[in-house]
Amino acid sequence: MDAPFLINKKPDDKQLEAIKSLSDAKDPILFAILGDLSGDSKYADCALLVTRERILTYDFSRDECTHSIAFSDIEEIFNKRMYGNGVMRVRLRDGTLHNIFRFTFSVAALCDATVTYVNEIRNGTAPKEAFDTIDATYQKLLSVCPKCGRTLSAPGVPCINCMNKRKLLGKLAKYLKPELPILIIAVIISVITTAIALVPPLLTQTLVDTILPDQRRDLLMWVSILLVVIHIIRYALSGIRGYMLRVSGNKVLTRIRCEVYEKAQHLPMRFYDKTSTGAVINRISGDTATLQAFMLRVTQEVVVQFFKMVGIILVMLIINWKLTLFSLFPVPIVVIGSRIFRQRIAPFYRRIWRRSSAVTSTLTDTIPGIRVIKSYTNEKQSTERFASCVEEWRVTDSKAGKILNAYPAIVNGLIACGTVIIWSFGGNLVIDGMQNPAIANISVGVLVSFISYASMFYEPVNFFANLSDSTQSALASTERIMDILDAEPEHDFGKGNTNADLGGRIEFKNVSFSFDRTKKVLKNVNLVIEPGDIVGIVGTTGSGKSTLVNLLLRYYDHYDGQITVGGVDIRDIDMEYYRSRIGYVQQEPMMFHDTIFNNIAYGDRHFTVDEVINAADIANAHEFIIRQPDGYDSMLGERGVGLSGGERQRVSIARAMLRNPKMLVFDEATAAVDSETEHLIQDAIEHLISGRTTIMIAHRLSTLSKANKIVVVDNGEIIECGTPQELMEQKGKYYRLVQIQSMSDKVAAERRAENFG
Amino acid sequence: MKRLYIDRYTGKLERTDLYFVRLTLKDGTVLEDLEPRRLFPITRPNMFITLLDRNEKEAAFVRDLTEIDDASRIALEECFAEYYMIPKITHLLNADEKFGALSWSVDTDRGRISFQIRNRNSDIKKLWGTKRVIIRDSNDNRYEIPDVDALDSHSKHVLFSYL
Repeated sequence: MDAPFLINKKPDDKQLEAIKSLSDAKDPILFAILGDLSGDSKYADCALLVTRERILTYDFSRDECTHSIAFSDIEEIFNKRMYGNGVMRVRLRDGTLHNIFRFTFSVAALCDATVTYVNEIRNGTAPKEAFDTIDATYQKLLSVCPKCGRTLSAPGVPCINCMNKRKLLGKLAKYLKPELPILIIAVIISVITTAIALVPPLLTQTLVDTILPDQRRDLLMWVSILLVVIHIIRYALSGIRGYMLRVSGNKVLTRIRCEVYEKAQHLPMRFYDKTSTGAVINRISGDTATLQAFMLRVTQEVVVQFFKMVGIILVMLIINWKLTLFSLFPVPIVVIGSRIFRQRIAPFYRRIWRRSSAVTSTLTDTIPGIRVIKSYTNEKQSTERFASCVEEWRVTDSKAGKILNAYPAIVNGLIACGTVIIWSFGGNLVIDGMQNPAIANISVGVLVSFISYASMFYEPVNFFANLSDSTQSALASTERIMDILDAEPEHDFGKGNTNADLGGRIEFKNVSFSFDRTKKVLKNVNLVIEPGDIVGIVGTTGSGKSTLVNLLLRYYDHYDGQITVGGVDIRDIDMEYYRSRIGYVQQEPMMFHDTIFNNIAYGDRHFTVDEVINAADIANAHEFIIRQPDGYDSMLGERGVGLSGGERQRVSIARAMLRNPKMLVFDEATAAVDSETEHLIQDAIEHLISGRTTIMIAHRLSTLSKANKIVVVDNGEIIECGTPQELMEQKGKYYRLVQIQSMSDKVAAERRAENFG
Repeated sequence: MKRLYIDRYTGKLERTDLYFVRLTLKDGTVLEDLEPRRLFPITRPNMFITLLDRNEKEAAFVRDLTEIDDASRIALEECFAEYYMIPKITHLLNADEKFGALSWSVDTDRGRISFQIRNRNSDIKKLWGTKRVIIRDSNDNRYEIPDVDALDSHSKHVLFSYL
């Protein structure tokens, strides 16, 4: 039964009836929200319905319409977002306040849209126009995969992630495909070696039954030579096979690693906000190796061991079927045991992985921060914390060790007992035959060869029983790798579109953004930046100024509203083209473990030496680089040349300079350096910005002396915008900030004067 | 800046709305529409409570719920009961991992609910050195397991592989 109005999820028939009974043809329901909280914030099915003229709520558990309020009676309507839940409140014209709808964050976006809708209608917006926003909100909700929450490329299409997980192993096959010829050769070799391996017991049989009793020394020599040849061929072949597998295994591993790494490069910042970098590193280095081992060794072995098993059973059946049945007796027990084992062990693998990844995370979090640890003499605590991480891993792994080892012990015990059965039953048959030659059906040689076959037979059985082991850990690794491979990459809908003029006018239109839906970081931001403008963005920490720039740099694409550059939505511009034309200088620039030259030319090696030196010169970096013994060849990073904060800053300005960007973004570029260096950097920046659209985030207002436009951001909103003179005259927030800073600057200057005087 | 600490001698609180309280100080000053918020909603829910005014600026501060009189404490607790919704999970009924997305159905002190967990590594967290587990679902709703050891064996079994 389909609802004739917008609804966030499918109501059951009873609910739909109840909803329908509330509306009539004159005043039909336009949209509905199925919520999950009752008025006293217990989980219950309830609904919020909006018609053309009223807003209604319905509680399905009590089967009653709890509120029915006409828009004309509403004085004020708003949502209060609380912790884990929210409430829609209405103040009526008679002054009473009603909590009409409780909701969890699952439907918070819809509730917000509803409030906006009701307000727009009350302010006289055309219903059609107001409804479009509602429609868009519903559409957006539907374009999120209901299973995994991932944003879909278009509303209603099947989620890439959820669809492909089913074909997890099919995906892995893709990596094996190029190695297929080698894999097939390897399998053929193993089938040959397996077949050869079946020969020695037959020879042993002849040895025991014919050669030894008949004292045939000539035959003994020939059989011995034959056995030696067989063994040489067998082990030589398996050596060759091992080498082949290693070579192609490395190829597969390289491919997976590079692919995962490449994918990790293109994941949106959202992914890294949620996943610690240590975990990602672990997946790229550790999990890929597990996967490779599984795909090659294990999949090969499956084929080989299967042939071995079939071969042995055939040979055994041909020799003596009764004895065969007896020797196979423990097999079902082993197989059933392995099934039970598989279910038990799966959670342990996850736990162990999680613990060891916690250990790695602790490492990657603390070792780089060793200065802080030392300065706060926190060595003991961090050691303790690390120790307890390792301890947790040890406990978990030891617990798992119990099950992990009990199982093979049981299996091996059963197998040993199986051999005893063959000895006792087969031994009886042999003795029977000796006592009564008429019924002789088994010789000592047959029994001996049978014992070797039986022990050989348990190798594949053991393998298949333990297969669950490697399969489980490989599947867990696959899952984690696929988590990266299948994650939605940064959208690049505008791929190939390089027509936009990035030196053009930048416009923020009604931009709202939130990281996690609970708190809006940017609220309805509107901003116009003309070509060639030097814009200073000012505001307290946490006010949203960095976020503003993050959106412009396209680190986050899931905002509401629109950002255009030169009239084109930035989401429709080719990402590579777009970013390569923006120079971005951060507060603490990242230096890579490479030469200064490569750090400046980072990302593009086509620059000539002259260009790089020129850029360094303009950035005031050349002067300190030439003082380095290795000049531009100086290695940066660990054990390399240590550059000071200001020097690094100038290298990063040179980096931006070299690209001849159309647009420049400085994120507190001078916040962490002394005034003299600031002056040098300031000078470098001035060289750089001439004629380019520049956006500077700054704490120190002195940095903004060249700005012709100041934007003051507070609490996610632009509260002031204009030329510095205008804002000074307004005597608003900017004025106050300037006052505070010039005062403290004066104090600092006086202090300095005193010291020198 | 001096913080206005409230205890049983310096001020009284009354609940005036779903999440607002009125503060009456000893000298008779009345502060209306203060919104109490926990500063440690997870680790110290009954301590360090700030009272925000309409502009979300701190107007007063309660260090410990035991330091104020009973009526005021009840007023705050009632506000918190409305404001903070962290359902306590009593039973884990089922964890479904099909299609790679993790979906839990649980019984809580507020009734039965199903939700999706986006990232099982970061959204299911055991608090350091305690038996509490905090869960965040794909819509940023929070849930809590107050004591892992107190769960029944089925719930423990379901939870086991995610901790």
